[in-house]
Amino acid sequence: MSSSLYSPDYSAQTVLLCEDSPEGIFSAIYTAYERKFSPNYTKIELLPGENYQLFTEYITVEGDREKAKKVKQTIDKRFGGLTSYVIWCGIYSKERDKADIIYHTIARGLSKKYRGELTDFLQDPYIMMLSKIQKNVAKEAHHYKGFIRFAQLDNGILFSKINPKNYILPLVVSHFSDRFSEEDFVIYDENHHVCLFHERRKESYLYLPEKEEELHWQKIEERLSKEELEVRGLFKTFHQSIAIEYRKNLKLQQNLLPLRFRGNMIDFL
Amino acid sequence: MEERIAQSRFELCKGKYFISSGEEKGNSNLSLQQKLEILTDAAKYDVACTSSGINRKGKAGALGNAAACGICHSFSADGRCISLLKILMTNHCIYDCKYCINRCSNDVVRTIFTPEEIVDLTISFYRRNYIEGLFLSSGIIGTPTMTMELMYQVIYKLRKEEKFNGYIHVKAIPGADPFLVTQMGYLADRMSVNLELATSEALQELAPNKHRKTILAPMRQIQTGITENKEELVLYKKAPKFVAAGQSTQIIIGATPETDYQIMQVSESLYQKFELKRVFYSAFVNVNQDTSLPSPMAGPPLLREHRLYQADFLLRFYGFEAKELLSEKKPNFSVYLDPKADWALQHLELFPMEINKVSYSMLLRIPGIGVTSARRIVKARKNGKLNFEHLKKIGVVLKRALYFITCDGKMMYPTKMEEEYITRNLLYEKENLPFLQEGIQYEQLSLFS
Ligand code: SF4
Repeated sequence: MSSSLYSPDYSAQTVLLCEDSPEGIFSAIYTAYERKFSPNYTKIELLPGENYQLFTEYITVEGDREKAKKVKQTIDKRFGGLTSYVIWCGIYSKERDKADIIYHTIARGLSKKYRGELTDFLQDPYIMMLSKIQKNVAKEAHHYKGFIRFAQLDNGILFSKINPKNYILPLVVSHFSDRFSEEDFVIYDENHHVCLFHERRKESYLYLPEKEEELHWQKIEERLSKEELEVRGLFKTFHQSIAIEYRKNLKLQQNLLPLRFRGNMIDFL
Repeated sequence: MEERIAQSRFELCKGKYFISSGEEKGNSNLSLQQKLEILTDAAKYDVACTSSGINRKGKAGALGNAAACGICHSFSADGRCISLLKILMTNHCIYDCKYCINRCSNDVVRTIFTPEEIVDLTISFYRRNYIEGLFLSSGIIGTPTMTMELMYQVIYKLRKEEKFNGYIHVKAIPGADPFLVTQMGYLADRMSVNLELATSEALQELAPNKHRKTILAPMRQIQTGITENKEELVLYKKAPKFVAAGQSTQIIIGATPETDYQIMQVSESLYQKFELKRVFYSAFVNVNQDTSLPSPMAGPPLLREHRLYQADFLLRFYGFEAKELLSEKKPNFSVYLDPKADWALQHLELFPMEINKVSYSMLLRIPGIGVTSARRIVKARKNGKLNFEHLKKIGVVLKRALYFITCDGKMMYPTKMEEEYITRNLLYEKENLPFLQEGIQYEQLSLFS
């Protein structure tokens, strides 16, 4: 283990700046390799960048589909499926330093100085950090598998609005498309301005909505039918009746189902 | 073919019960909402709400799938996971179990769902992602066989007519025709028969209409069914699956004087001899204010329930045996210490263990190390020695583990290997108990202050 990499205040001499997207991050990694920068002296930051430092060269990398693709292929080819899943979770994370962590994890992987699955090498601080980030993202995605609530609109479409911290839609696509393959549904991520569309028996896709569409969705609650409200009423009855008074424990409930999820859950409206 | 026979048998009672029930006791105009309230309330003391144990993909033309890890959809005000629509089909009951709100001697409003009502509720909740599936139980209406026939109608409709492909857990009713248990097993993911009480004497006393033998018979039948089905599936991949998510049971804790040791021995043999997936423990709540049972004022024995779950995990995932944890001489778990720490303190001669050397199964025996961190340690060790900083990041609870481990021959702090000293220190770091929080009155609370 080279120690220079592990001291937290090592100063990078080159900082690559990129957009917060898979394309942006992968393109920056590609550039670092193309220009033969040493990982020990290179950092990748998301635009607009963190604190500017003296004696450091800043390079803004444009997202480039071809370059990104090559990095993706390298990841798929060189590392196991588990590792690439972990890297993708990193990409979807809300953390600002994710690009740098992923870059250095990949650098460690390509150096081949490890045994077994790359993500098991938890002595490496970057891999440890990535593992933490991945757990956070995967946990939120798993939560949403349960906590998403659909409302049936008059045209039969199931609609759901969510406000996740991380960009989790790609991680729940296959779950919901498989579960509700016979339904038409929309999951709208208000925080990231993106939605998941699924048409009955067809492929699902992610979609960037227009402003007006978002406004329309944000107000959809006001237009629900009487029948829909009745179903909600029934579920609320169930939710209340299932609790055992003698065991009442609101703190425990809150630990397990944090308040931030509840705004979109009819259970608590 | 068999299916058709089973179906034709229903014709006999079909209609009769569902129609007549509405007329009884003048409840014919209970709304669906009221029925749901009553039949949820009557089902809530059954603890199992997990939807785990089976991965099943969606199917064209069908609604739903199943995820082996289980998915919690909500949490109720008592902090328990809501995963399944847990309801009784009816709270009519011919039996008189002392601990149960539905016992026939209680004067409560009785009602029954129609199959359509249960099917509609399940599907409209499922489509909106409120639930993972259905957990159907029931009071005994008419006879056990009749009850199960009615339940079968519901499940049949849900699976075959409505093509519901989500999770289904059904109670097998002891004493029902074994044929129905088998039929049900091909439609349900999980089945369970409640053992209710750990000893047959306690059962006799509290549930005079129930018998140990009648409870164990369907349990054994389901176990045999699962084993045979597994063999069948090896030969023929498309054979219909039988109770693929396994069976579970429930034991009531604290209504009768059994010791933890007796309960753990029962659990152990249920895991070993009946191959159960889960044994659930339910802290007794004296809903009937029955004076022959522990007073409701004391509150449910939550700490005891918690200790039993901890020990249950030790049996299932940590390679412990009941007799290692308890004995005739020490028949109950410690109030102060979790069962694993308690065990470790009785076996100080084995500690400290060297993290970089000891086997996976020994890692599991170290307080502060769980299954996940033990696995991560074993994998990470391949890439070099681990130190305390690494362990902390891996998720080891060092404030508990530090008395029992060395990293590269060194302990974290100088520590006396003395039972009393370590106990004192462990107690100083308060255990993280899920229920010692606001709203809970609890007799043993005072022991902690
Ligand atoms: S059989 Fe006993 S436990 Fe079950 S509903 Fe009837 S009275 Fe209650």
